[in-house]
Amino acid sequence: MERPPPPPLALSMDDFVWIFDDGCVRLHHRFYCLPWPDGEDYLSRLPDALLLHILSFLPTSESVRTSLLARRWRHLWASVPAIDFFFITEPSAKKIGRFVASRSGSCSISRLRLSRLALRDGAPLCDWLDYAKSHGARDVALLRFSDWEHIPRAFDILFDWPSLVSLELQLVPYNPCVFRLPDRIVLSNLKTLSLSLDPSEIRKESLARLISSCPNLEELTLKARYALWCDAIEIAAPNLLRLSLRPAPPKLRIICQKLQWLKLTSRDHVKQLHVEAPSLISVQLRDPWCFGSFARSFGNWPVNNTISTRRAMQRLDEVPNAWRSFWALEDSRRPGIIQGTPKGSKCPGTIQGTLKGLEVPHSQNDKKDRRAIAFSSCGNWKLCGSSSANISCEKELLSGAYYAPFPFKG
Amino acid sequence: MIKLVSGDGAEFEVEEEVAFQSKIIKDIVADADDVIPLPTVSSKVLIQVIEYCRKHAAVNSFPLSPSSSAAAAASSSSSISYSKPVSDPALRAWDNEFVKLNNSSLFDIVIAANYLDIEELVDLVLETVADRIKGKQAQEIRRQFNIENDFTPEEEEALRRENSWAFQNN
Repeated sequence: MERPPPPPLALSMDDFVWIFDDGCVRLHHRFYCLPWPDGEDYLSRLPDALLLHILSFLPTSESVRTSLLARRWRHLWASVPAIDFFFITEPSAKKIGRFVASRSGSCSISRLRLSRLALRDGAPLCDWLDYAKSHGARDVALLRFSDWEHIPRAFDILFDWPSLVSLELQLVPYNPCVFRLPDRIVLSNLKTLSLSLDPSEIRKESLARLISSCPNLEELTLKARYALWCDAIEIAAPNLLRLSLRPAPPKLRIICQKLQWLKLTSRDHVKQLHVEAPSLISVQLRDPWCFGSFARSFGNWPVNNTISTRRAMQRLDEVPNAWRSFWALEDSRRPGIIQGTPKGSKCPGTIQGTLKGLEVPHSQNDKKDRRAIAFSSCGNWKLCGSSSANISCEKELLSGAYYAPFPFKG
Repeated sequence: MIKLVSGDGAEFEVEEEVAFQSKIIKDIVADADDVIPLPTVSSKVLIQVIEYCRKHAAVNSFPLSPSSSAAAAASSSSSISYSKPVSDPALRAWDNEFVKLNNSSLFDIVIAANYLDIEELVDLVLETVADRIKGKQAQEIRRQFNIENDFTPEEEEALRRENSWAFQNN
């Protein structure tokens, strides 16, 4: 068998492999894709269970295509415990039908993932959901699901699924409307729920009913709108560990005894916010001034606070110094993002406190901003990622402070 | 401390929380002693597995701030991440570096991790292998993993026709 050439020392574009995946394009270095030159086929020697596990990470049509590799692979695809298709319109819906029909009937399914759903006729979708449910699927994701208003039966099936562990729903409405839940909700084993309805609205009663029907919920991510005049939205889930509300409703009560991390964003000032969560270890707020006294009160809490901001840090004085980490990655078009004079500091751009993480947006090329950050932290801190190579700190700006030129690792 | 003995006789002393990343070791220690022979794992592979367990044990015992979704999405190498718990972006970056290995080392690690029942490591490695398969033609995958094509051209053509729907773009 012909051996592949050794990895080249100098790089050229030919050394990279373009990978197309679900609308994303990625570049991989060919070196990491090269076989070990001893000519052994390690892959095919793995046990079936591991090969099926590998195939379950691939989009279904690609896992079917591996049947061509060799006899060892010929029938594997029919037992892959995942159904994963994207861009599903009427013609491609037939593909999924073909696939489901030719799977080995007795093999269970652990995951169903359909993205970019746009079906006028909901019958096939309901069939797939029924099929997945009867084959024990525990993870279901329906992403970028448009025209969903016409397929109420799909939701009857989805929300009456006691064995479901993870549900992700991303609904793209034709017209923003009020999301209505089916009458019967049984999700007694659900641990992860991600519901993206924006710009549709969810009613307080629906949300309360949904949360109370998921007694084991550990992670909730909700993107929706709320009626302006409604009473406080209450999130009371005894087992919830992680909660993310993007955006937070204007009036909010959180009563979660086990909640460990909380992420809130808001477009506007939150009028009422009550948080009863004694187990919190991390709070992440975007645009913290929207959260008024709640944000300020966190300065005294023993939690990992994170600020992420789209606005300039000139507003930093509204935030307590004890906030420990700053994520300023949201808007790279604002070079002033890490400038500002926080309360109690004398030189511009000094962030006081025990800084733990800082993320700087990509386009920080403006010379003016090169002296933007200095750290007066002696604690545990690090800089994370992003190509901030053009930023450096000037020594004279800092007296006795710890500083490091970018890029910084570790 | 727990002593792990690799197949070639080398001994490794590791802390409990590091070794207990492996469910098998956790079970064995519960009802036996603290010296654990791992005859099927070579010391080269065991060193890598311990490195992984040490890193993850350290991070798991100290909860870090969860990633913002943007950071997580940027550092994640795969589109399938929805069912995984929220993890630290720095740890993900470390994982991504850890799996930059050639195929045969990866397979050695996954066989060891599977044997030791370290679920996260199995997932990590197999997902990496899947990433190396993704988006490629059969011929390219065969070349990359040294898979020998044992179909006759007629058989291959018949198979292609049988599952023709998967080979069309739309």
